[in-house]
Amino acid sequence: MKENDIDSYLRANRPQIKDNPTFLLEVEQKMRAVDGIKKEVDRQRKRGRLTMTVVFVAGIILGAIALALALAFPTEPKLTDVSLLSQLKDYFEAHAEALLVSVAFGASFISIALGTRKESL
Amino acid sequence: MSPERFIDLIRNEQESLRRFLLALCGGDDDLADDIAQDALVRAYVASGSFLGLSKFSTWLFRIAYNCYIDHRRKPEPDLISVESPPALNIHSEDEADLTFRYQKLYLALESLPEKEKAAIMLHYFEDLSIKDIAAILQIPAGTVKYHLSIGRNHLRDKLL
Repeated sequence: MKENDIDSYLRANRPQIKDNPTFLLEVEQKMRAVDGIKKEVDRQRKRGRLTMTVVFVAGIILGAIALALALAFPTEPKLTDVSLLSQLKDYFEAHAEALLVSVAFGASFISIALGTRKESL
Repeated sequence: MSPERFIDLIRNEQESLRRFLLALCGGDDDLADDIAQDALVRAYVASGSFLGLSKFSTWLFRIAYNCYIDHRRKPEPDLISVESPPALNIHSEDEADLTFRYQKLYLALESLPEKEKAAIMLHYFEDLSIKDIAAILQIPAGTVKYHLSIGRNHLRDKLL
């Protein structure tokens, strides 16, 4: 067989697509749907950012008010709870290993949970 | 980019894109159109990242080919189909003629490895250059030439 035979066979048998007048309309509808989802996601993100900003500003204002009040009305610290503090210190010293392991376990769990969290639309 | 502007851009490309996918899907035009629409929507979403380093049509074909590969990798549903294979699906008399005309070709193409099949289709059905085919299939130009040569031999054995 000649090399050109298969070339001309393939070129002569180029597939013909079925007439589909709604093809581009359907594509456009899908694109508009995608646009709608993108806008909604952007809106949610903006709202999240705004909430974070409000919480941050509120925290600073409340902290400043608390500091101003503490400076305006100073009080003597009570030194009566020394026994309670020493009890806590003794307890911590006795169970230091278990407490540190618990803290490490908790921190690992939180970091894994945050790392695997999926964003939902 | 607005949907209208994107539709204007793809208006001239959609026919060859659909034909390429039709050949890849063994003549199943419903499946080919579904993949084409999926590819065009993906292209629209990613249109902001198109840097113009390659031709727009090449970029579209690459996305379409990746969509087709994704579709092929999806596990088949556990259903026993009572329908004939895609290459034999016939909806009307005109389509029957068309389907039978291409059936032999589709079956021969179906037997080729994916990259070989895609290289043959892009070169002979879409008249694309070796450089463009290499960009679409993301393989070196020399490999495209190799696939074309081997693919031609395979098809010659099956068709002629």
